[in-house]
Amino acid sequence: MIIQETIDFIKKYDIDGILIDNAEIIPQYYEINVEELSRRETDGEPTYSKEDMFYGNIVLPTIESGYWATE
Amino acid sequence: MRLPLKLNLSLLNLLREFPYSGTSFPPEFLKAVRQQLVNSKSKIPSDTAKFVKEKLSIDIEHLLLAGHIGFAKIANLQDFVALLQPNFKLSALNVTDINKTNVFNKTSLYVAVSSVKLDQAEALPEAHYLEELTVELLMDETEQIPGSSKEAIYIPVSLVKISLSSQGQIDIHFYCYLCHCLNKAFADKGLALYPWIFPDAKLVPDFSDQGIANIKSNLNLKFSHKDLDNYIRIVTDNPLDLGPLKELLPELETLVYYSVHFQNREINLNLERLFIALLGHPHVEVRNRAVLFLNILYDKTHWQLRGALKTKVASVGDQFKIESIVESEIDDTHFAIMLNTYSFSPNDSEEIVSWHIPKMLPYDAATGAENSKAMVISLDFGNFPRAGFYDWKLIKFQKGGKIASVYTGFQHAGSLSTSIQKLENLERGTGFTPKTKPIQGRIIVHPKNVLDLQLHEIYADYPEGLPTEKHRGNFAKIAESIANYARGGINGLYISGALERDYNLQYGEDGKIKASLSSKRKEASPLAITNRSMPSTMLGGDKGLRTLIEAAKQKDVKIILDFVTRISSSRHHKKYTPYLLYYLDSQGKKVPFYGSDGRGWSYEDTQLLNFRYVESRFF
Repeated sequence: MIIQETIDFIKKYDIDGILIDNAEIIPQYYEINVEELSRRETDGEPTYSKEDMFYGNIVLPTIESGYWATE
Repeated sequence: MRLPLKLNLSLLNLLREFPYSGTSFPPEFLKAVRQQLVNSKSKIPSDTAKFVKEKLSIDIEHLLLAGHIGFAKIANLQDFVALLQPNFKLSALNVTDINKTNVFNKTSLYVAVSSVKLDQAEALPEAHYLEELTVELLMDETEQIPGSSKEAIYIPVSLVKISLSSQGQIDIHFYCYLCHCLNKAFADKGLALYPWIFPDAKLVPDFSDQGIANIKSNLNLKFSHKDLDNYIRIVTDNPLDLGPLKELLPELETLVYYSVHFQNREINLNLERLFIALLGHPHVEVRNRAVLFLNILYDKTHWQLRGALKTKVASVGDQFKIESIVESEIDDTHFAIMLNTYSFSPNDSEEIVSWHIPKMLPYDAATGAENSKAMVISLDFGNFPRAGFYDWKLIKFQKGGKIASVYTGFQHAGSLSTSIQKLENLERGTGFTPKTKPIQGRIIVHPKNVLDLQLHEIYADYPEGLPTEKHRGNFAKIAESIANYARGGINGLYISGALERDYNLQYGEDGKIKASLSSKRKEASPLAITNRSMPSTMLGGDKGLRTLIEAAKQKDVKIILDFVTRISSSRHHKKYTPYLLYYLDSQGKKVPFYGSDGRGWSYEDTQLLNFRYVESRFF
């Protein structure tokens, strides 16, 4: 989506380049909140879908740089 | 069904002469090749050509060209032609020139040739065929491959298919298969054909067999949507349990290895979705493997499985020379350099893996040092023809049809083959030394003259650096200043804040501004983007930006815009809404994950998207 929007913009306006600030921390991925995404409702139903867990739609707040603790 | 083909010797001669100037093919060469392809095509019934197109999704001329390139690249093909047609003079293969470029392949050449328009009224030149031999393409994938004879050799269509899809990675096996078929059929004549990249025919049978083994591997390869769902279930059932992943990761490594090797698009896409999701796994080792696997998918080679590519930076026009020192015996001659990059031809967008013969010199001869077993391996491609990544890898052809990495930094190594053997032992066990790295690299090539850019950074709202309403800028004002910048030696402008932000405007059905709502928000942050596809309305919108770019082009000033990955947390376009990222605050409330520079700051006027979700949903 972001890549396509960028490509389309470059093609449409024929600009010479783009600069992505802080590129070293992009894409920003954060640690998923396993506890929250595993939560069940009061009637026992899972609150979130497997897709929410898989894609990490709820993450932990962090002050770490985008991609945390990788080599 | 079988497709019988006769080798067009006239076409083979054209190909083997390979008159490439370093930047383009002569038009007369392309025309002559096209004419011979039409000649060969005319010998094939139209319904057969149609069947081939449906079966292989390839035009018959492309197939004919691919086949003839396979034969043309046999170094000593003249030995074979002389057996059947002693009076025909087959041209020598122009090894020197094909070694310097990657355009002598079935894709790049077809792109160039297919652009040639033939005059229908003009008679085609005569074609000379090798009538004594039929090349039978076995279209039925289940058909047993018959033994080759002096009258016919048989090529399974599966081998052709994976050769076409693999972007050059298994070409060597295809060429060896052709050589091996002919060598077996004419064994009594002592025929020993070998592809141009080999020094002799010793390894031909092994690499031919590996080509056939590739068919089986490719047929057994699968990773469907259903398989992806299974993996998702395993990964999400209990993300903190590493147990299942310990078994799955080796499976995935094997899968990505072969999928990249054969360039299986469907499998690659499903794997990409999985790996992107795994980038957020709670365990660091899983994340690291996901990064590695994604690198392999995007590189389109599995080279980084053995270690990272050593990176250098260059510009178009710089000298393109690969050099390396390896420990080796003087008679170790089965080295090659693989190159993975875009076709050197600027009109071809395909990425190609090509094979090249390096120049080898004993280290002491090259440097004056004495008593060294080291060899200097080098390859001069001339100059970088276009921008992009140029990945290269030093390899060695080995028995068993194996293409082995060549490693450096291995202590106590004797001959190279010994060190490779030792390494393989280490890899099978647990003692792999991290000091040992494969000899491979990536050269990141920037556009020509990029180092000559004199960039000037401006905020679109305040190009003069005066943040007041009176001096507020817009695209038109910047356009007026271009000539002045150019006079001052500025040949590149980096403009921040050029994309659409939250002005609180109301749009009509035609997408045009109707009015502002309660009040315009002139103070809206220029870095909080509501729609990444639009230039800022307040600065002049579409028309204003086009005027600016036109003015810049007239003065040859490059325009570089600031693109941010965050989006505005107020009134962003609804296309972003499904992909917003959230976290729970201390009271358990779900709140947007505000934009961050990754260093502890957060900007509440922007928020982040869930990139894992965004990029794996938009294939």
